[in-house]
Amino acid sequence: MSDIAIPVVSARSGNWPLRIGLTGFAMIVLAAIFAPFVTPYDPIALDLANALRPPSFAHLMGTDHLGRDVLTRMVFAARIDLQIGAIGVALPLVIGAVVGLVAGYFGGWVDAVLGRIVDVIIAFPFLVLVIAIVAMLGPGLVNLYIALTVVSWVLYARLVRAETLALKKREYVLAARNLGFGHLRIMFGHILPNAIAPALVFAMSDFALDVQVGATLSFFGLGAQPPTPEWGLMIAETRSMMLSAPWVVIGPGLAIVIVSLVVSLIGDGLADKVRRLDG
Amino acid sequence: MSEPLLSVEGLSKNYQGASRPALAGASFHLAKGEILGVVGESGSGKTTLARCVALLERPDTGRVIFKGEDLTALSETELRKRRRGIQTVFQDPYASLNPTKRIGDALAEVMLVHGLATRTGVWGQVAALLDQVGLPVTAADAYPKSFSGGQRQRICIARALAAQPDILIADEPVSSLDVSVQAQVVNLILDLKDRLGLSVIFIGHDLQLIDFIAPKVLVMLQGEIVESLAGASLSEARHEYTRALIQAVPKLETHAS
Amino acid sequence: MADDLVIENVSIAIAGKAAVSGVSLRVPAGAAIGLVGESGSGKSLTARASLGLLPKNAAAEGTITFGAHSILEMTPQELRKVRGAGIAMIFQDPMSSLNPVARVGQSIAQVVRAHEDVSQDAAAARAVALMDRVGIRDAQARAASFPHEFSGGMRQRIMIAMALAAKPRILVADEPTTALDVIVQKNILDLLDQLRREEGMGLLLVSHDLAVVGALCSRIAVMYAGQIVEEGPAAEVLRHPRMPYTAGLLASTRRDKSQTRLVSIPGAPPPLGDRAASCRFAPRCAQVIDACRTTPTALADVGHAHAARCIRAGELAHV
Repeated sequence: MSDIAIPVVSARSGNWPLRIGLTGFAMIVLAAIFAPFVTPYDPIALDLANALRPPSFAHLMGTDHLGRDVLTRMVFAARIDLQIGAIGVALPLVIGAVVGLVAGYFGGWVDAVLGRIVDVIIAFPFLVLVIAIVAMLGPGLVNLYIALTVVSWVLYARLVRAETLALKKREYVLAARNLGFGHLRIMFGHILPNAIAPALVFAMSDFALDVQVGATLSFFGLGAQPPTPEWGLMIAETRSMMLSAPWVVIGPGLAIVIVSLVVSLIGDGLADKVRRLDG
Repeated sequence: MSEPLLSVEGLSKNYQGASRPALAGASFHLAKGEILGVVGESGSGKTTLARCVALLERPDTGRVIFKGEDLTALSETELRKRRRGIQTVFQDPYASLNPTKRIGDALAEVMLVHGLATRTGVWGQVAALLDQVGLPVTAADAYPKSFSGGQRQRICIARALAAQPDILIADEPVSSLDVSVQAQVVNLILDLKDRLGLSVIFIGHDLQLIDFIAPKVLVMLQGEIVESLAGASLSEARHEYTRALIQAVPKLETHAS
Repeated sequence: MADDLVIENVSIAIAGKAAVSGVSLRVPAGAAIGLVGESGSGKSLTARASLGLLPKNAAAEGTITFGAHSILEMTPQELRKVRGAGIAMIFQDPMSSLNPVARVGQSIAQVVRAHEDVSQDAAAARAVALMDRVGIRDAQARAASFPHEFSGGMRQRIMIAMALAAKPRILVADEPTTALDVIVQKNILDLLDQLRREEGMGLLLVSHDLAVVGALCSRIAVMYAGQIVEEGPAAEVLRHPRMPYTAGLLASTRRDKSQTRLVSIPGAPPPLGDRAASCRFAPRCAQVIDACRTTPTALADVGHAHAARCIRAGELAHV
């Protein structure tokens, strides 16, 4: 009697950026987790007899000034750098999403107060503020996470707030109120899943940025400390040999580029997926 | 006469910055199983009326007495428990469903929140609801994007029914649907009214359609109810505006008329 | 005829999906022709194609001629000339086609000057005259207003004035009253009718509403799933529909208070793409027989200058 043909839509038709990005990211994560099994060398032990060897079959990316295998240190460094990316994104994302949701949903003075805080933090240049906070709290990874969180939650809050403002006028949110659902259920069950997409897409580019910031701070001696393998620190330690033994900086540099690329692909793919779900 | 299910008394709403009230002193009664039509053009206040009656907007003045209780006097928390009694189907079926929720989950959520079903029994009730609005059970597993406008409107009706309401407010439910599908949805609402004993407030801009659906029709103009046509034919309309509305509709001279 | 718009066997695909298949339609100078269909029927695409206004991902076949011009083969520059002087179009939503930061008098005068070599003052005077012509009171003063200062109906009048500024021979109106209230709708329809008669302009009125089209047009073409399924004199099509879809549409708009339910057509129109050679309405048709699902259809003459795309049109004449 009625229009009952329901097309079954397969959501995964040809989203190659997402597939390549996720595959690449999974490989990097696996390599980092199983680092001791991926390479035969120790990332920290010195082997001065083999210092600054160019790439060969024994050392695919060569060795550094202390004779450590560059590839081994790259793989072990992924543990720290991915952690910086993950924590540096996860904490601000969670805090920002909740704040943005509350501000957008309730509006009024809540929104006004939160809006001013956001404006103040955004007014500072990102990197300068991160460096200032770490310099104040002292060098180290935990303080880096604190700095990244303090600085970047505001961006997530802004994105989620803007989406929430638009969505709360949608009929399905009205319907949810009409159905007698509570604020928490409406905010987290009905608005957030639809408001979070731009923040997730941004999180992917933010991940790449955080990895770079982590490397930058370590480069300046404010992040990871020697002899911990970390990409920025590896470049900092060996930059004086850059011209005579370029492989010592090419390795970690390449690692940063690849991670950034893979994460950006995931971001693009996610954005595409989000658009399709809306259609 | 027994007390009506719903009494709306002197409902007014003024939006900030507007030159005139969106709703000015609307009053009417609705009995159990009754269907009431509301007709008006854009800006006549018919959607504001719908939202104030469902307490989705707080009226500035006036009372909404539902089952003997003034809803406008309740706090937001007290109101939440009573909201399920008055359900709304909105105009735009493409904005009325949460795109990230499967249809089955959306229907189940309503029943679980209000304790109208158990976790184990809810899926059977979801299937029954879908059947009631003429959709196959397989619809439960799909997301809103898989459905046409007419199908989405059926889902919205099912979601409203999941709350087991006494009153269904249909706010221009067919205005954005294809002509050939409009009659299906109208008939569905009429069927459900008969089968479930629902009271219905059916809002629209098509006077002839509303007149067909409802024995009693309120005509709105600039926030006011200017005429109430009860049991009369349209030709007996008194108000100048109502007559202008009737005059303006292009007539189809078909072989049947 | 020099000023006729002739659409012949036009097919349009959007992103490779068939949206319009083999549509032929003639809009003679001075006549009002109605094109009726639901969303996705291809009626708007057909209307747009007649001005060469197709989206980028559309591919069109067939021919559309206006006088000596072959619309589908023209360059954008050539099209621009024809669009002004020959064919003009108005849309459902006038706000999106009006420049929000220009005074409406200027917008109209601009169109005048694009087609005629006249002074700015003369163009401004013409703009006021045109606004007066489309029933905007106090046109002299209103010419200095911006689009947002007008109501929906008045904006549609301004769009019509802009369309008239180029003295078109054919006016294509795509759902010109769908967003308007019924009283305003009636005024706009009356205006279109009056202009057609007085200017001897051809009018192609596109709408989902059979009653709107029936009120204005001498001939009606009904589209379903990209095809014209019925075409003929308005009175014939509305009184003696020979295609069950048209009959169903008419029946579903009937408000017969002796019945408790509306007459409805079951199912929904098919999506774009994959379109059969056999009857596309068959899955929803109450009169369907097995042959409907296999026999290729054609728009066949049923007498009285009336054609229907239904293999049972002969037997169903009495329906």
